[in-house]
Amino acid sequence: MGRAGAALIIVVLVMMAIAAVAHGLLLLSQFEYLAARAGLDQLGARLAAEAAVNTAFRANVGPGSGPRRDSTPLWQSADSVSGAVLAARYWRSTRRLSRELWLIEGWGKRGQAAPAKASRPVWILDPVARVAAMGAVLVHGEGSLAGVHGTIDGSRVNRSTTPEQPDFCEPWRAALDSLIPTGTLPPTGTEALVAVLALGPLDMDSLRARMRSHAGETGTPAPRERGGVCVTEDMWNWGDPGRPKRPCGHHFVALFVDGDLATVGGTGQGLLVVSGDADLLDTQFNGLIMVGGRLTLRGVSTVLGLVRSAGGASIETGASIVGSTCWAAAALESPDVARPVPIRGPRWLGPR
Amino acid sequence: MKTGTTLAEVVIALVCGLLVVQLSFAGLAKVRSVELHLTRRSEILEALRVSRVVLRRELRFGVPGVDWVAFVPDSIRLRAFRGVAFVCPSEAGGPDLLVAWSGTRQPAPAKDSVLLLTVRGAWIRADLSSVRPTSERCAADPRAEVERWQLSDTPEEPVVLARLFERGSYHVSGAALRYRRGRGGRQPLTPEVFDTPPSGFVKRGGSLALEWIRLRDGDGLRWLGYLGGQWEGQAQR
Repeated sequence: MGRAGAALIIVVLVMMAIAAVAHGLLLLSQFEYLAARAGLDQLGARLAAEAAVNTAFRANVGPGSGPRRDSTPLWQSADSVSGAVLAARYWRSTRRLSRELWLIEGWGKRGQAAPAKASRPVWILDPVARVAAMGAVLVHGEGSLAGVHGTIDGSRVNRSTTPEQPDFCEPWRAALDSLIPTGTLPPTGTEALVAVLALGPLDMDSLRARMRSHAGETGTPAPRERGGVCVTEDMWNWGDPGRPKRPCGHHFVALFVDGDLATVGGTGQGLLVVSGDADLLDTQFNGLIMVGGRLTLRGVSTVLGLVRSAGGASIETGASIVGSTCWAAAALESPDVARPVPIRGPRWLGPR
Repeated sequence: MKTGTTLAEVVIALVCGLLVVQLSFAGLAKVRSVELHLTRRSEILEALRVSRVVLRRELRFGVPGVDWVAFVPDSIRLRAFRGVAFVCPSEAGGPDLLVAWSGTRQPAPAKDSVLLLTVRGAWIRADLSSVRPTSERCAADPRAEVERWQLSDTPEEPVVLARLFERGSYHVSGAALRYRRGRGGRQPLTPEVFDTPPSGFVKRGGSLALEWIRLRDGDGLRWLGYLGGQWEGQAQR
C-alpha cells in the first residue's frame, strides 16, 4: 500500500513541478509579447512625432505670417496642429527662439506607450528682420559699379509716402522703427556677391527651387482680371499696386526669372528675383528686386522698395528708387520664401 | 495462492509506478529543456531590443562623421547628447548663460560639453565650467525653472540654444554591447549572449548597421539592424 502511495506522491510532485515550469513559460511568452507590443507603440509614437515635425516643411505651413508671426514672443509657441497617422496621434507647435530661429516640436502617442517627442531647429524668414539687415536702398556686389544718374532716396524708408503708405504697413511700423531708428538708409552700399544674392540661408538655388520660375523674357507687367477675379497664373500679372480694392490689389508676385528680364512699361508689386540682367523701361515696381547680373532702370522707371544687384546697377536720368522698408517687407511675405529652412546640423534635437 | 498473487500484484504495481514516474520525469526534463531554450531566446531578444533602442536613440541626435564615428566592426565613438537648454534671450551674449534645461540627467561640468546654436544658425562648441541653481527668472517665460551655466569661452555671437553632451563609445565585445563613458570602464548593457567576433558593426551603402551573430548551442541566429546613416545630410531647400 505504501509503495502505491509513494508513486502517487511522486507523480503529483512532478506534475506540480511541470505546472510551475509551464507557468513560467507562459509568463515569459506574455512578457515577450508585451515587450514587443510596447516597442511597436514606442516606434509608432516616435515616427508620428517626426512626421508631425516634417509636415511643417510643406508649402504654406509655418507659424502663420505677417503680424501674427511677428508678434509671437520669444520662447512662446505658435502654429499648433494635431492629427493622426496610421494608429498614432500627433501634435505640433513652433516655438520662437529668436527673430528668425524657431524650434519645431512634435509629439506622438500610440497605444499605452509614453508620448514620444521630436524637435528640430529651423530658420524662417522674418520680413522685418531681413529688411532691417539690408544696409542700403541699392546694395550691389563688391567690385561692381553703380552708375546713378537718376535718383535714389533713402531719407524716409520707414514712411515713404509715394504713393500713400499702404495699410498693411501699420503692424510692422513699431518693429521697423526700432530696428532702423533713424528711418534712413544710405542710397547705395556694397556686399559680397554671395550675400547680395541671398536671403539669410536662402541662396539663389534655394530661391529657384521654392519660387515660381520662368525663363527670361521681354514683356509688360500688368494686372490681369477675368470675371472680377485676379488671374495669378499669368506670368506678367505682377499685381495692381496702389489700387488695393481691385481684384489684383493684394496680389504680390513672387517670381524667379531664370535668365535676363526686360520690361517695357507696366506696373507690378512683390518679390522679383532675376538670375541674369534686368532691364526695366518706364516700369513701376513696388517691393524687392534681386538681380544676379546687372540692373538697368531706364525712362521713368520707379522702384518703391529695396534693390539688390550683384552685377551693379545703372539708374538712368529720370529713373528712381525710393527706399521703402514696408514694401520690401510686404514682398517677403510670400509663402514661398516663408517656408521653414532646416538648420545645418542634426536632424533631431534631444533628448528632452 | 495468496503469496503468488501478492507477488504478481507487487511486480505489476512496481512496473506501472515506475513507468508513471519515468514518464513524469521525462516530461519534466523536456519542459525544463524548453524553458531553458526559451529563457536563452528571451535573453537574446532582450539584447537585440536594448542594443537597437539604445544605439538608434543615441545616433539619432547626432550627425554622422561629426557627432559620431564608427570604427567597424567593434566600436562607435560619439557625442552622447543628454539634453537641451533654451538660453534666456537677455543673457545670450556672455560666458554666463541663464538657461531652461531639460534632459535625461543633471549637467555635470566635470565631464560635459555643450554645442551652442547662435542667432545666425551656426553651431559652436564650448566646455561647461559650472552649473549653479538660481532664483532668477527669465523674462521670456517667468514660470520656467532656470539655472545658470558658465562656459569656458565667451561665444562670438548671441546663442539661443544649448545641447549638452558627454563623450563616450559603444563597443561590441565580451559577448555583449558595452558603453564606455570618457576614459572609464566598459559597462555591459546587454546579457552576454552573442559571439564576439563575428558580431559587430557593419557598413551598408553609407548606413551603419549592427550585426548580431550566435552560433553557440545550435542556435544559428543572425540579426542585422539599421542604426543610422548618411541620409541625414541630404540637403533640403
